[in-house]
Amino acid sequence: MNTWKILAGLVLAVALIVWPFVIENRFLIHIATMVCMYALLALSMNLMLRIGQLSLAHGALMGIGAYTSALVMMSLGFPFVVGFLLSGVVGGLVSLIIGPILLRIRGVYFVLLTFAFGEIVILTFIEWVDVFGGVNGIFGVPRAQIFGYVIKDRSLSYLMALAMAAGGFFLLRALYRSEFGAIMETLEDDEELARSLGVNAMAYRLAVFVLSGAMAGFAGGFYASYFTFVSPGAFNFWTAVNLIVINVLGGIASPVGVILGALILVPLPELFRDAVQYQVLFYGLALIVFLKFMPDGLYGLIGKMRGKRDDR
Amino acid sequence: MTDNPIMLELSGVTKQFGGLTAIGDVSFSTRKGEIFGIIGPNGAGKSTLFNLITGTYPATRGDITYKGESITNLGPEGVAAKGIVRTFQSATVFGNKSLQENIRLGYLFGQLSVPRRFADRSLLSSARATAETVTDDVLSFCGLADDRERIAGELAYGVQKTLGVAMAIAAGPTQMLMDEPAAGLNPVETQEMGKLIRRIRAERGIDVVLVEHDVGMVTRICDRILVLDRGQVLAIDVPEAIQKHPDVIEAYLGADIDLH
Repeated sequence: MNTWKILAGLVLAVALIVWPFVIENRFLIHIATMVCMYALLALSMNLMLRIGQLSLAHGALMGIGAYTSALVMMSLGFPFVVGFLLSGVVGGLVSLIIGPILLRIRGVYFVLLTFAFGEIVILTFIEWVDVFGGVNGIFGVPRAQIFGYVIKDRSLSYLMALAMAAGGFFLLRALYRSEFGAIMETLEDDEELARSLGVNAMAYRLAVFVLSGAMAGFAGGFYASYFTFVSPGAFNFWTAVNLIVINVLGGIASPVGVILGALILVPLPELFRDAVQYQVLFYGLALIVFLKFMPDGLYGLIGKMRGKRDDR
Repeated sequence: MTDNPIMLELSGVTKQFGGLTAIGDVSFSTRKGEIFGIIGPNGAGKSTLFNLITGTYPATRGDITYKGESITNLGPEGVAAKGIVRTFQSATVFGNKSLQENIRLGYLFGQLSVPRRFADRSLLSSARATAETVTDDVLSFCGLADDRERIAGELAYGVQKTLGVAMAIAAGPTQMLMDEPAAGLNPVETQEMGKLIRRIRAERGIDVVLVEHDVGMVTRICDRILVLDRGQVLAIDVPEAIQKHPDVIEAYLGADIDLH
């Protein structure tokens, strides 16, 4: 990596951290926070898409993280840090338990199974009123609090979300560039070759699913304290669909593409409030157009325009 | 060679698909230092038998052992962990990666069999260091050093097949299972592949079991040959005896008559 790239990266990092304190626009900062949260979620979905197992359970996994954090703080009285950490741990743990059953199934059946799992989770939130508060969910979730300092300020919430998205981004980039990434690549097309060389494909699939579930769980933990309430509706399968659209639009081949996708798709409904009813229609059309004409997404398009091979 | 220890041993191995018996009660054993060929007419069950040994298919009945340890139903990765690595009939390589990266991964995939091993930083860094040495060594052994930077998918088919063998060597096996190593190769490439297989045994000390359609190649390079017909062992013997075996001649003639 040359000096200019490092310099550009530093400038970008400083700009991303400083801007909310300069432009004190609450609405913009909120949108940026949502972009970061969805970027983390979309990165978690990217892991699954990379191994060719499209998951519709990721809304539910996020919900599991959100409810875990809320309940650990409110019912068990633990501080935010514990609730937040457990949101990721439980998200990963649930994936670890259901993974060995679900991951054996491929293709459209996996999609259906994850859809069913997501619905079961949502129904549990709705029907088990004593614990999860039913359709209304849980109100008054404590805000994020680090070293006794309550994060009320929107800019600080944004910074937390930014740190999470950046963490997810750099983790995935490092993984994809390593032998782990090489093994993940084989899981979609060359699994037989990888297994013949001694790779336990199932163990790797499970590791990917657990990491993905933990990331979704962390996003949920953040969500609960950011909005200070959780309700089942926020975690249904449309969340997973949005994450898939973000991935397809931005480009599955690179974490950069995923960030691009989140950057473009997340602000849209916020900016065009009146057009929210057409959102699903827009997503559908965007999916068709991209899958048909730009299967590598925006990132692939940029790569093509720069006339170089995709080096991730 | 008949005094050498038994390596791979199949006892009463049977594979049924529904009501169809693809492999019926097959028993044989290979010995240390041996190149062992499996031939048979089309539909004899060669591929099925091969997939049983590699762990791709679970056996319906019977036991497969390697050095006395059962490898039945371990699955491909379990079989590979015992030092048995296979090659594929079609050129099966990581097409978008360079040739040397393919060989490097051939070694590293075995080392990083489970995610836990990838998470072990000291194991990972020592495996990566060893991979460099292994890659250089295997590249020169297989005569691929000149093309090391080239993308595997862009290489000629014959080179890709050699690369497939190179990856298997890099994995560091004690036993290699080769699925039709000569399939798709021209006569010159077939000769080269035959030489490579003999060198794998002679210079690397790797035992070889191969399934092959090209009977000429098998009789040239194998120490012993098993003839499979309709899922059963027709004969096991040295090449000279197999060529004269009346049942074998009949099985192949029968196949020819069916074909024409």
